[in-house]
Amino acid sequence: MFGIMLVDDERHFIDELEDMIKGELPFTILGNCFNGITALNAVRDLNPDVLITDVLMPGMSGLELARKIRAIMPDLPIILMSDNPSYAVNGYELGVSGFLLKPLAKDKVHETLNRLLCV
Amino acid sequence: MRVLIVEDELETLSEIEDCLRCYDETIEIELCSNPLQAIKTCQAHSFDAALLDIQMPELTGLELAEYLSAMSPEMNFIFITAFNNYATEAFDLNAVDYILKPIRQERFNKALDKVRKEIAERGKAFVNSSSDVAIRAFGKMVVSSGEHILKWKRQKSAEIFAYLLHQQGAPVHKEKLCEMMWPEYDPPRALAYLQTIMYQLRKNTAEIGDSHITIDYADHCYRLNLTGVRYDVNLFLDAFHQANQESAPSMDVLIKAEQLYTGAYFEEEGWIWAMGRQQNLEQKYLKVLEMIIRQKMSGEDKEGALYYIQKWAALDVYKNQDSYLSWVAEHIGADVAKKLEAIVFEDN
Repeated sequence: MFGIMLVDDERHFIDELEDMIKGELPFTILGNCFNGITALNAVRDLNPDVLITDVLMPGMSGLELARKIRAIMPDLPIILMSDNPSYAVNGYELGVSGFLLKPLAKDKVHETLNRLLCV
Repeated sequence: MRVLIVEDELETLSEIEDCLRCYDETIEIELCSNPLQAIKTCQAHSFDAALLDIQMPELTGLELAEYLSAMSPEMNFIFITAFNNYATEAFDLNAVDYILKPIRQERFNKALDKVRKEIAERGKAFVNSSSDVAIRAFGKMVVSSGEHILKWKRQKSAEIFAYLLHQQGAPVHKEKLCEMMWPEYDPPRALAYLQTIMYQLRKNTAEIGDSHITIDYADHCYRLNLTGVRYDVNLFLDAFHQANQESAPSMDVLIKAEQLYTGAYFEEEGWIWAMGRQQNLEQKYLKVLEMIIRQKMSGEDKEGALYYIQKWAALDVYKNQDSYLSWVAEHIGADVAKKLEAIVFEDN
């Protein structure tokens, strides 16, 4: 089983993702965070195999979070989420491993996570 | 490195070429201003990477990438475009990078470095069909294709592969696999682990290419298939059976069998399920050694016989020195037994 960490300021997206992942993919939800700062503190303790984060969050944005995490845990695959597709370009600049467009589509979520399984 | 550039605006095409030469002037470059031409080119030549524009009249860069990666799955893609809204699709296509125009050399270099890294990681995984695919199970398990050795992501992956190999092509029920590998876990959890590992194993063995090593799944059972693979255990068994059938076994066949046995079956792994066959194969090896020794002795090649006797003594099957020496005295000769006592058991 792989450990996954979810970060989004909107609870319902976290619930949606959990529903799409639990029982269908070999991932255990290690923890959820609602902002970038708690996520940054939690990531080292939780030590997930994948981190999925929303981009637009109050305080620290998902992009900033991704940048900071890649500085301390460069091998951790990060997936960004947003309803704005142009953030995918920033995703490439930051070297993230995937991008999920909101509203979330189950097949895309599965495809993205499955792709990481063969790394 | 061979790179293809596909861009319909000639000025930009030239600009990208310059960037590439600036990055590394040793790179072989092919230019295409037409995506359909690019497809033709890729049919005739192979490339490590393709730098693609997205908005092109005949075919978009995304469609082209999909087409090209179906032809050459190892190709790496970088999109170079003025538009920022295609990046999500680029991720879906597993593109290595996505650069916005106007191009900055530094950003361009970063993208090419990523490609270099991908190529290095793939390394020697892409073998041409003339490479030797071999599996060793005597001693430590090694699966190789030419110089490239398959690396296992997890110890359990290696064990599951070995267990499937052990079945010699017979299918194993997934529940049986779960039971063998994770006896302490409840079935759904073990099954989830199994699925993850099988997924990885398939990707791992696909590196070997040309379907030499495949894993089938049907009726809830997994099965390992080997095609055109040199598997040392089977080669040993073939030679052993051949030698056994002849009243006067050929020395060539015997030597061949002896050389294949480079260690106990899955020697260093300690897998309980392998112990029975480990003993069985060791017995066969001892028999091969005996046959060689006898032939050499009857052919008056005492030196040669001694070499193989020492190998026989090296297996700690005969812990009892006396019984071993008396066997040698009886079957080979008292003088050889005396010599052995001095040489082989010196350090005991």
